Amino acid sequence: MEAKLLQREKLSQLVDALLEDHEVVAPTSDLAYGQIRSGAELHLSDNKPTQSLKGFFFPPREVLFESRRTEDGLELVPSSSSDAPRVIVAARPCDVASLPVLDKLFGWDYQDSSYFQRRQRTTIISLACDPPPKDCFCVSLGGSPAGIEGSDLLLTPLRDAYHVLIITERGKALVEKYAQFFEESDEQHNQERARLEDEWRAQVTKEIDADRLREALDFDSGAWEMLAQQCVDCAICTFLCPTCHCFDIQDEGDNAHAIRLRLWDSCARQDFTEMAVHQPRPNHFSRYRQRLMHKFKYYPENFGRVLCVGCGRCIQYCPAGVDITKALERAVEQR
Amino acid sequence: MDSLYLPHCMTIKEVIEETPDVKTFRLAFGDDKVKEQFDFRAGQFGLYSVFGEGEAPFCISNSPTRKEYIECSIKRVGRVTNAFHELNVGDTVGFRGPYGNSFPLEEMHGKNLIFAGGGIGLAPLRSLIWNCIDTRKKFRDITIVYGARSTADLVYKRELSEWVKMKRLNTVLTVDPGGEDETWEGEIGFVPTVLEQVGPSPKNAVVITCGPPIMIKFVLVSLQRMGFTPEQVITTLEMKMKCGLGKCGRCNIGSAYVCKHGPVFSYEQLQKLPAEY
Amino acid sequence: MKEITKKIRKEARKLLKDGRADLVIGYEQGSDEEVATPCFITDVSQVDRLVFDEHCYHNLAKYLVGQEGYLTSRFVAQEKRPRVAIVATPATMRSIVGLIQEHQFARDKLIILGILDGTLVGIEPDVVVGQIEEDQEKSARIQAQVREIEEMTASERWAWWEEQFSRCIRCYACRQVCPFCYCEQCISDENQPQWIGKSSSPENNRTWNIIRALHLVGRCTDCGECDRVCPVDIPLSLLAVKMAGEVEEAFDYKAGADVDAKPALHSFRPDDPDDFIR
Repeated sequence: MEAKLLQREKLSQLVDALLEDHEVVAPTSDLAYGQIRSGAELHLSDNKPTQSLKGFFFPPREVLFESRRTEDGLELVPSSSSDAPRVIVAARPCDVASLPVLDKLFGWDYQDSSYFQRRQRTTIISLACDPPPKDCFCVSLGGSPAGIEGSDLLLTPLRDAYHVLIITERGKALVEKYAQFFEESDEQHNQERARLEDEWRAQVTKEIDADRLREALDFDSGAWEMLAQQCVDCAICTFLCPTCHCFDIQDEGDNAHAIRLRLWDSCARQDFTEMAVHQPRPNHFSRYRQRLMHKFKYYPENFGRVLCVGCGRCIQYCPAGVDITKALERAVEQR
Repeated sequence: MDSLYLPHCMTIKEVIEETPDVKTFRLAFGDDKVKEQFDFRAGQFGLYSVFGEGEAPFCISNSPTRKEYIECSIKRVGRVTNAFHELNVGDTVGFRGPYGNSFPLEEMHGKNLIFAGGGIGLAPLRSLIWNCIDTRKKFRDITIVYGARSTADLVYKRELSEWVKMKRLNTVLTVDPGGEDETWEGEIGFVPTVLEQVGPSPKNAVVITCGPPIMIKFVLVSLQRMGFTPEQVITTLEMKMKCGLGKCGRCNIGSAYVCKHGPVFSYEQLQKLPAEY
Repeated sequence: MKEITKKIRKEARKLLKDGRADLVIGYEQGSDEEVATPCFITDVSQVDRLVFDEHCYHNLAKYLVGQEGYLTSRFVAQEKRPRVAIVATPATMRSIVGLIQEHQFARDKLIILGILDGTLVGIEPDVVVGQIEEDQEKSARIQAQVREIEEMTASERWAWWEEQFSRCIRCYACRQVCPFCYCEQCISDENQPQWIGKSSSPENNRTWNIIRALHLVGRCTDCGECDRVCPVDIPLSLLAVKMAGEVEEAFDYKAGADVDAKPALHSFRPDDPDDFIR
């Protein structure tokens, strides 16, 4: 792949230039990615944002349409979403890798048009993780601290500058349009990039064996009840997870004027599958089992991809200190 | 921007009170062109909504051979169903569909069909029953065993009388012991018991059953005793649904999504799925 | 800390061996040395998993109550529920005080292996397994922040909290970790009527957070868990401390301070300070 160099101080200037005719999204703090108005707002840190990028493609709250009573009856006004070009800068490779995984679901037979519209209008510039945070396990899932899946350009911090790997046509077009910021890179830089990636990959110590999980995870295992003991169904893991996509549809308003919304939901919730007449998952451990088996068995069976990118947020933020990599290991060992 | 979640606005043309807590709604499309183009297969469902209250899945209980109205039968149990029960003729509701798979009609051709239904479980079967009646020559014997807790709880009472009178069907109606009223002329007994009494042969036959979980459980036991195999028994399942089209992650049983791989399943298929429904 | 660990293991071993407890709830090391995780020991052979160190801040009282709590599970008949021994920090003990006051379980259903830090705890542990230092710096910091907000005008305060609540993603982790949020059906899950809209609009978020705060007034023992777990850093401890201050001022009552006291907002006294109620 073709490569360029970007001097470190030029990143902020590039962002300012992009802002002239794009929306720009970048980490704004350790808490989240957000839309920024100047290159100075770009927040680079060793910590990845607590929240992933998924909200920029699958918003936590999205109005589907409005219903209004009129003299003639009822009128439905569908929502429209922007098609302004957008660039995400300094995205973590794991957050970006979740997008091709989610594409499978949002495109399964029925195309979710607002999701794909956002995918279409977005160019992604990732920034490699130097160093990778301690709870990550992207490598065993086919990712990497300098992973390229889903990205258009990858920035890798070398000693002196950013190595810019041009991954897609779209990435190439961006580099050409903003050529004034980029310099040529040479073989030495490419080698340095590769060497650094190897170093970072070696620092990722947590791992899972996805193939084994898919084959060995057992719904009927007696181990689930014990494994679910520490979990309090807080749902943080599902909200922070870049691949969790379960949602609810709710109406707010009344029959004269209402909106129908799509909002994030979680299988960890007690009422997730609860019907007026029957509840298929009354026990907490059945919900815990659903979450792990959906991610590592059911989704792969339906779509050929594991519903996880190894970002480690579920480990980092679990109030009870549950480590999903250990829990999964015990789930298959203790059948 | 077209949205998967944007429903048709339907007008309620008729409300039929089937039982003290079940109403059937006959809905009409606003646009004749949409009405002409709308097609579906027996067993599919839609997401019906009361704007401002919410949306819920119900089967399309009219047959594809009788598409003048979209019909759904709704039992009042929660927020959305209660909201439906407050509506009147002329009110507007939302409808989107058809979703899900359907009864395997082609595999049923040339076979003896046995319908075993209980209570509101007759609603999804009704679409298929009328479909079969309207294409009667394609099937051999058709037996219907249907029951409810009491005479008041039987749904589609007008149609039940029609089916009883039809010579091309063998229709046996029953109510649970103690559920009969003075005018009741049908059987008295639980559906599984009556099914065994009717005693259809498993040879070249398909059973389609739907009803409360307890009834289905005992129907299966009876069918096994009568020599039916799991591939011969078909049912349709109910799960909490929001999107109806495989995205919200709510209706799965193991790897099977009830809204995509179902709601129609054979017992052979269900035996391979986790017991979480 | 190592001494406390040894003492806990010794007591747990005795309790399980003598058959005085079926279950010991405590802490064990998590996925690395910087993480502890709640653990549930039912067998003497497992007792050496128990540890106590500076990472053991989880409020274990949560596991006692609610729909599937060890002492209150609706899936387990009362006579079949386990006899529980619990490793309890001062925060955990103060929550236990409140839960007993609210009749979630009786005192004799629980064996408390208590750790003290000099702060007021309204219950006698069965065994004191150790002493730790109170985190005075943290308490002081929170108190200072509360003062700061109290200095604001009403509209400044509203705007400040609106900004905090705007980040709320309605994950309900605050509710899930709270021992006092044990309602069978939370008001936010009620849909007939839908008291609180589920979506994360500013209006809904504000309603949820305020209602939760109000449902905890006079009950919350400021264990700090809701604040610790909030993934969007809403400073919920400030609400807890502020509420506790208001309750103390109005009713001379401190939640968690005395297991035999009648909770201020759950009981009527003829000498109630509010005269509208007389």
